[in-house]
Amino acid sequence: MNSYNLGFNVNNQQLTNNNQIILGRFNPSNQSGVFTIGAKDASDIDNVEKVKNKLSNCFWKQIPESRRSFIASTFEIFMDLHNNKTLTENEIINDKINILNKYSKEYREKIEIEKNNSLNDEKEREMYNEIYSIFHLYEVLYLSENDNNNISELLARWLTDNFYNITANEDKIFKLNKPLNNEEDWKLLLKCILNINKYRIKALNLLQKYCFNNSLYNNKNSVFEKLIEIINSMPLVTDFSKYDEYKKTWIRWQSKVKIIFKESNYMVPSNVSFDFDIENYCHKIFGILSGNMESIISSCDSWKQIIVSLIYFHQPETKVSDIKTLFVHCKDTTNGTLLDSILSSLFKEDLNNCVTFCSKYDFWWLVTHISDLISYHYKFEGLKDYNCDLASWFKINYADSLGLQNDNWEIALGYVSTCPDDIKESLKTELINHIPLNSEDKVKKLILNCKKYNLKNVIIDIHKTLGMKEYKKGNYGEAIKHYMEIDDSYRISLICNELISQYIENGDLSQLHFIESLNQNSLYNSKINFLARYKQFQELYREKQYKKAGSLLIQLLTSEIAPKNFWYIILIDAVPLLENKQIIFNSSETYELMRCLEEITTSHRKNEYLATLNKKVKSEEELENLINVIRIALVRNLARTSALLI
Amino acid sequence: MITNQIQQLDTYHEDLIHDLSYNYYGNRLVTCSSDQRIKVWDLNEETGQWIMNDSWKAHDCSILKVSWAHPEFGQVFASCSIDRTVKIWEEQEYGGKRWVEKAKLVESQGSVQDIEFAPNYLGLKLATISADGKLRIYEAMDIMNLLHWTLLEEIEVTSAGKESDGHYCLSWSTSRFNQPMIVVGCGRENTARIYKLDQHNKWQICEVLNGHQDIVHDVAWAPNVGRSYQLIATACKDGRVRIFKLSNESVKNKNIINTNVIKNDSKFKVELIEEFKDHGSEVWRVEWNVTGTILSSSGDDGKIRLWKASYTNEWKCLSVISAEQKK
Repeated sequence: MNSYNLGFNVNNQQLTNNNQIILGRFNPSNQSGVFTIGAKDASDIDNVEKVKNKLSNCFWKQIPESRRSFIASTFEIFMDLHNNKTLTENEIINDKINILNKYSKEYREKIEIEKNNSLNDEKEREMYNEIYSIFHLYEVLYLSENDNNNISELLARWLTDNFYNITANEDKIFKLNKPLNNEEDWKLLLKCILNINKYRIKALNLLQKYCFNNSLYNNKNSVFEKLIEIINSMPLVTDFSKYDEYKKTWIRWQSKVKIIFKESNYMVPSNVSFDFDIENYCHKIFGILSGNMESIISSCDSWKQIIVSLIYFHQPETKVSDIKTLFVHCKDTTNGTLLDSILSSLFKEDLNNCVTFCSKYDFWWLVTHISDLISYHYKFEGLKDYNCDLASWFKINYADSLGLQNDNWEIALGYVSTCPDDIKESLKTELINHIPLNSEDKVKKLILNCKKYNLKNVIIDIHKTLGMKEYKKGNYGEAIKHYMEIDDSYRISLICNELISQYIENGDLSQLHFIESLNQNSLYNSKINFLARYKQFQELYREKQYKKAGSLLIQLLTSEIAPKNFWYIILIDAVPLLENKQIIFNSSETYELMRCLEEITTSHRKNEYLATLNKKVKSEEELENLINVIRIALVRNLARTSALLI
Repeated sequence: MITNQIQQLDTYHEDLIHDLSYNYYGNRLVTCSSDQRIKVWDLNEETGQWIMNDSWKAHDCSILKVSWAHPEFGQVFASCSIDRTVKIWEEQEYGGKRWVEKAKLVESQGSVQDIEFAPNYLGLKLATISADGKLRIYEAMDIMNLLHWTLLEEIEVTSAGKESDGHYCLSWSTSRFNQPMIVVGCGRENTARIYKLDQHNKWQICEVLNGHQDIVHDVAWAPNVGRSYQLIATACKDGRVRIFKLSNESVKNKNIINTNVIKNDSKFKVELIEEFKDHGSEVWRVEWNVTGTILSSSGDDGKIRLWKASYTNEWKCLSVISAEQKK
């Protein structure tokens, strides 16, 4: 548990006495932000303003910026793994293990890069080292082909690479001309023996230099000569094409070592004096190489080394399932570090406990990725009351911890998309809803992702939000386009009503340009259809295509898509056409126009239909005169059509 | 924890700040205070600084709460005050004022103590609760033009009669897969109740959250992500933070979360699953993060505590944020 201090100059008692208010608020797009409020401190007059007015943004559990590239690159591996159909479709466990092994190695490669990138940050480097060793051990124990049963080799390599590398100081000893003259050098020799899979040559070098300096060559009884001979003859796995052959040779070799071990009397050269027990070291080295349990245990400095060395030198045929029996020889596994707990639970095949310990790291990355791999070959104990498995639970927490800033949302979404269907939608909805829609590119990407994950509800929310944004800016056309994307006829109609009202009020059709970019199928909405056709009428009129313009006007009225408060505008628009030299409307069309005029002027809702017109005239009389102008035009046109019988 | 960074912001409110609320994207913040003013803050994403967008006198008394509507309805928030009114504010792209009072809801007979917009899929609805003991639900008549609001429902939540100084609070359920529900802290009755919109479109009491020894100061319904049950947190004057678990009794089927059918007849089993005494004094606020995985609580001990459940459902205190001076 962590404690943070906001640094307000008040104490608890003062806060309580002053009826203070303090509250935490989570930032929806950044799980790490918490705002709090301090209250005034009445007793401290000078400080009143400062305290009561301050908000504090407390960043907690922020993932450092330096981890971004690691998070992004491992996300790619994770998604690749989840898109690998062989893993989900193939039931053969060995095939699965091989594939998982490949991905585990890829993860390790990325961790290795971060280890090297964090050279200046000791804590980070330490964390990546630990994560690497956990992944590596998991891979050795669970993702290796067991046909060869080469577990001892792999474990030895794991131990040496992760915990027993040669330090710079140790390297200096190797460069000495006369090594092994003090105890530190012998400790190093012991280390080389315990990690002989990697440091065989180095051990030989030390011994050879020693023999040379002390004129011990060609003395077959010299313990050092015998050691050199044993180490030299040690079979190397790389020299054998078949692992079985190597194993047989190793067993034969070790039998010889055992004989020598029994016979040796550890003769210390008489011309050298030591202030430490060289015999003890020689005894240990022989003991280790001959697989003597006591020698191995007493030479190791950690439980990890005991387990691995026992397997390597004492029981090379051990199976993974038997490793746990070796723990009786270790004393310090239970009170070790978090890393120790994780590694020992891996050795003990206690995978539930392993992930529980992994989840204690501040960085959810480890537990998420290891539990994800494990879930392909092991069934975790069920999660009480959750609709998801344990691996998914960790993915949710990892996604949660990434926050939604920058491009993290895409990564968070990717992890969530691999969770069971039961929870995917609600989780993604919660996440995506809080991603700021602050650039066109981002919105496009977001919508693409929503389509990919079939998140219809979220797409609807996004278009509604963007539509409203455009509407508020006065870009009605853009707003309608967004609403059309989601077939929101309710909102489209609301905006069209607004556009129609605007035209009725001030004759402004400038907002209708968007109609040109719509395809015909979009004109299903009667209000848009009306606006489109009315716009078309205006254009035909401007182009002096009066006949076409006239028939369009009639259509607008007869199809009743024009709202009734718009009819008087259409009728006024018809006047110049009625007065045109060429006859535009035939008699039945003229009758239709007359019917429409009478319908709005004799209706009990006349005032409503003519409300805007009423506002534009000074008196009732003027309104009547205006209507009469339409009437006269209609009558004259009717007379003309009757005379010409059209 | 990796970083412990604290950034402070002077609000220049001239009195106690009662509430603050992030917009949906966390890049805008509104604060309200006893100085009767509302201030809106915008996050400069490059510098990480909060810049004041606007500040104005919004009510005639202390402003107690502010709540943002979903951005699909525009940049809209509501404020409530001891002056018995609720006001709806909207950002204007044009014109003199940036933030315009679109509507004033005046039905309350007492100070309005809590407000919250409903989840957006229910439309533009606002729940309010006042010292007159009434829960009111309003709806915007026209979402393009927020001048007119209809009072859809007025529910008397307290049987104790009118209380001028009663303390009430509310929180909507965000689950799309149940009927609309609201949890309400019921003043001096020392309890919280869940109201549900029934099949006949009537709000009815559906469950009671018992176990409180004093006034319930705050309620928070957890966003339901990945759980087969719902969680509600309460902050109580008795110094406890409580977490209640609501399991759906009628549907044991695991597919419940994925079903788009609204459960009309669901009956809940209510259990008090956690009770934290850590604040040791009145607890004022509780709030969940957006995925419902972390709960924050704040109390008179001057501390904010963050709680998180492990996958074995054990709740642990993640962090304590303190306003105390370092000793």
